[in-house]
Amino acid sequence: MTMPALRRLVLTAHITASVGWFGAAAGFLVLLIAGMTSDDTQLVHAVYLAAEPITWYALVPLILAALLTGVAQSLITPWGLIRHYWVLFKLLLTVVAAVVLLQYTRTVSHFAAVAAETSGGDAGALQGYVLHAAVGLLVLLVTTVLSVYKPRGLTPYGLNRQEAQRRAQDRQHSG
Amino acid sequence: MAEPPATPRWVKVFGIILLALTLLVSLILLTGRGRHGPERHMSPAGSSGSFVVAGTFGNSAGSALSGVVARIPAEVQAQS
Repeated sequence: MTMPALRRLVLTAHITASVGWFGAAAGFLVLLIAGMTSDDTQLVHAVYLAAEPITWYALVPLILAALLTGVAQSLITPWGLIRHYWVLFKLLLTVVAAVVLLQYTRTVSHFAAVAAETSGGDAGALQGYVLHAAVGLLVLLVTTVLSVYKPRGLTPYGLNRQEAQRRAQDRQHSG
Repeated sequence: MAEPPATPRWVKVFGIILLALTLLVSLILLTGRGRHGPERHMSPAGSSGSFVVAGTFGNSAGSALSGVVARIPAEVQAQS
């Protein structure tokens, strides 16, 4: 496979994973708000039960896929992983979001287990779910804006690399 | 030798916001709401190994146990 074809393939995988993550997070948030604002204990109970598979089989795989394909994409393109500030910030935000989500899976699994043992439900803990999901969506929005606008700015590492490349080109021309 | 270009303003603003948010979250986690995760919703129930989930799940019929679910590990149950 040629390099441009590989780049296009990884970019497609990255966009698919990121859009999937956004959709899963948005749908999850709507479900949580429906549970949090409802007086129907059966609905709240169902939300706690549904939260676990959505987290484990949609959110976690999609965020990890977005992270891995993003890293792969940056390494096979001239953008690099830590050369440009916008790429660096995207990486940091995605890593933090992934760590927080993986930490929060304990809470989600715990409440799903409690829900499986009981009937009815209290929407109390759903506030925490909503807060985490909303912040996750905000992070996704910021990373999307960074990807589309690609604001200028090289990191010190990027500047050094650029300078080294310029010197190498000068040597080639003079030699 | 030419001066390296200054850090863009958006990077400084972004960095300050991220730093402030990180400090805020750290402060929240370290102070009053320090416990994070499922144990935040539990309280110790005296004997070792047992705990109570308070105000989390209730019986829809509104029994005396409504809002409180006692969860005792199997090894504690076997001893009693």
